[in-house]
Amino acid sequence: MKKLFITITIIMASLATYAQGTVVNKYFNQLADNDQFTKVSISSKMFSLFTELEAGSEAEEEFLKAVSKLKGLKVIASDSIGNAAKMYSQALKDIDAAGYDELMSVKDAEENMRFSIKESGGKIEELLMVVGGKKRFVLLSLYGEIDLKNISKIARSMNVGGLDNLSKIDADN
Amino acid sequence: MVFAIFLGLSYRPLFAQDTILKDLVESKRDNKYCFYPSTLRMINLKQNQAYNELVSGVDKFLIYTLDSAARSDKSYRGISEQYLEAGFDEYATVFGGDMNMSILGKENARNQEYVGYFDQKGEMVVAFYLKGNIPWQKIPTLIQNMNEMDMLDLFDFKDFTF
Repeated sequence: MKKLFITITIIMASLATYAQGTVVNKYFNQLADNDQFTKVSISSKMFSLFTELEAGSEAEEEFLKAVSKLKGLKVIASDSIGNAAKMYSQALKDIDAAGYDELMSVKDAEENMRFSIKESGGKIEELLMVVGGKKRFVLLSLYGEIDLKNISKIARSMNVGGLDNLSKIDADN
Repeated sequence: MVFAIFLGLSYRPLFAQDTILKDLVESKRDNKYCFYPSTLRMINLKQNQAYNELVSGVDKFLIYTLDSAARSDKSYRGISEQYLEAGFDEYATVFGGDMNMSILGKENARNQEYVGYFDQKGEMVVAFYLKGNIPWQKIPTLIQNMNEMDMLDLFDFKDFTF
């Protein structure tokens, strides 16, 4: 019985890992050879570099703690594609089909944006951001244990184009 | 006999890891820098003790600057493909835009290996291979120290914007 329980736990854990990043991985594979898109992939190893830094204040300590819990970041972006609006619509369909919950949407004349999350056990384990403009498309996935309070600070510290949009979450929460 | 073949096959990769990089870039380089603990200590003119302790764990640190042909045909991208096949893990990659880079690593209890390349706007492409007992978290300190010594500005990749 104990053996069966352990086996089920291992299977569930591997399924959860597999489910993480399903949408962004699909686009990574699809656009692997397309040079019109910039593709960024950062693993937990890079985030672990923050653990060596010494915090100068309580806020910094909180920030470093939040960063150390991140497992990865993937971004696909392009500023010069003709079918950005179509890609945005398709991405939203894929995100909904994959079971993500909508966190926030922003619509304006220039571009649309949607933040979605995947939760497990009350904790956010993946944050997806998709941006669609006239020629601009961005799909960003941040995964690990995500603390929304520190998202904008993380976004600023990374200085990756597109991530700055994450500050909009902080403003609304 | 079977044991001997197995031993040979399993032992070879330990020595072959930097040859992947050499095979790919040796004929396409402008400059090559080879650092060992002694040479790394030699450039430490201020005799920074913490730096000396850090580099004592380095077995080998190879840095190549690639030529214009490699920069234009982007053949250096094969570095990440071949090292992934050799069992390295991908730590970070950026493809497209003004910056292309890839960092991979393979770690065990006794030593670590890191390999990768940086292409900054096609103006300079740097490929590197580092092996030794040097924790991943200490790599930025090593590079920062080398930059402070005005030895190399090869790793000045602060701008992550695309």
